Amino acid sequence: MPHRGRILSGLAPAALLLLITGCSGANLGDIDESVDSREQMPGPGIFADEDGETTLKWSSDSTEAEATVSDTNSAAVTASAATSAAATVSPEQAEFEQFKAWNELRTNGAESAEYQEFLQWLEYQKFKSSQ
Amino acid sequence: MKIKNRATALQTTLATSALILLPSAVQAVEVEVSGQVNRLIQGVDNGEESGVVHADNSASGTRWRFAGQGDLDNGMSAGLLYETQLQSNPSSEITAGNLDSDGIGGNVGGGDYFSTRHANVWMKGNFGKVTMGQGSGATDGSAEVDDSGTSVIQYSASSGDLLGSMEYGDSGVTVGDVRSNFDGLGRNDNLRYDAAIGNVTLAGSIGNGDKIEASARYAIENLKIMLGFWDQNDSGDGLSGSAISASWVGDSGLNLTGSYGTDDRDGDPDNIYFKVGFKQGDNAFGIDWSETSDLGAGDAESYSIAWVRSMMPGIEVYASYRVESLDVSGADDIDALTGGARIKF
Repeated sequence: MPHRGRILSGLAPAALLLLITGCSGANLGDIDESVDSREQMPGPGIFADEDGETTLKWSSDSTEAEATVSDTNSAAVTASAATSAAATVSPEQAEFEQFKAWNELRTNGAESAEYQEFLQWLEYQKFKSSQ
Repeated sequence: MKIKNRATALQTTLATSALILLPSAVQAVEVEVSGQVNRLIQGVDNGEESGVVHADNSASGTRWRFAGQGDLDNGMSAGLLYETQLQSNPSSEITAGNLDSDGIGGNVGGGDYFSTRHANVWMKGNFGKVTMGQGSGATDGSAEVDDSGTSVIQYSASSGDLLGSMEYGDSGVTVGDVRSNFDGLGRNDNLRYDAAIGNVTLAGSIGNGDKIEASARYAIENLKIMLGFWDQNDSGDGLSGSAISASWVGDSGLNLTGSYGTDDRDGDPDNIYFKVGFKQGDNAFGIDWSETSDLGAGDAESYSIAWVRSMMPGIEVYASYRVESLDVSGADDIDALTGGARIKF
């Protein structure tokens, strides 16, 4: 098996090289992860706007969720989902949704950074409504 | 499109619970959902039968993928990739008999093909990247490096992808019987390791049946080269082989692509491929030639011309004319005129 011999003879020095390089503390993680343009078309998809962002919305009676998606050449993107007091939702309903989310966090993670941030977010909502 | 967690706690809670659950050690989560639809219409004449057929372009089939990754506390990251291909009438499966029917199977839906392409998890850091599961072995792509811009319709495996089940006249020999670009072991279930040293990325993988693969990739701004060796050992036919491919793109848009692959089955078959291309603005053109020797009933060659235009981000259209030949008595040439579109989401 000439190919097997070539594989093994190729792997041995490569393994040694990796071992030496690894022991020296060098960064081996900067690997080429580029995707072939045939496998995956380069650039953003068709849902992206001029800024490379896409906004997806869906809503129910009491909650509106929004996702903002920025889709760039490397498909760098952000997205979020949030409840908000949608125009079609009464202030009381929106407040109730906020309470449910707050109660869930309070129960399961009162000391968490997320909970603290949520409290700040509620304060911000109060501040906004007072303007 | 990728999805990343954002600042507010409520948003984070809802987004993460809706999208992905990862251990608490993960500091940032990013999820990408993407895919494409790639359809073509092909007029084919194999010397005995001719007709027009709608098909899914098997060079880059209709598919969707789900990829997620999270940063860990210690500077490492971990993630997953799941990708499924869903094709209706794959171009590689179209036979001469399908040219006069409703497609593969003789009816709409009879030619539906579903396959899992990737289902793997990975972890990476300064040590490199370790991947486990179904996915590309280390030599996948070793005969297919191609930066010409026309690879969606013209590359080293286009013969099989576009006309693989088409018969040369009434010879009883199909394109797939006599053509291969010997592109390593493709996708398989494996444990893979990648590490970079400068501009060179080394990879090795071990899969079921003790199949082993090793490759090296070199990439700079306008040149890519990949070299691979593999051995199936106890899997498949127990073949071993090797492949190399390279692609160079000049500042003028002129580009050159070539590949060579072989394995150790009877006759020591091999394949050679060469393409000259030109890119200008949103357009890419290519002329290619390839020949597979000693694989089946006879030596087979092909040539083609191709054009690909990027209409807007996420949309490209393409066209090509291809001729497949086999040096066997009674084997007619296969001519194919193809037009199609690929749309990414």
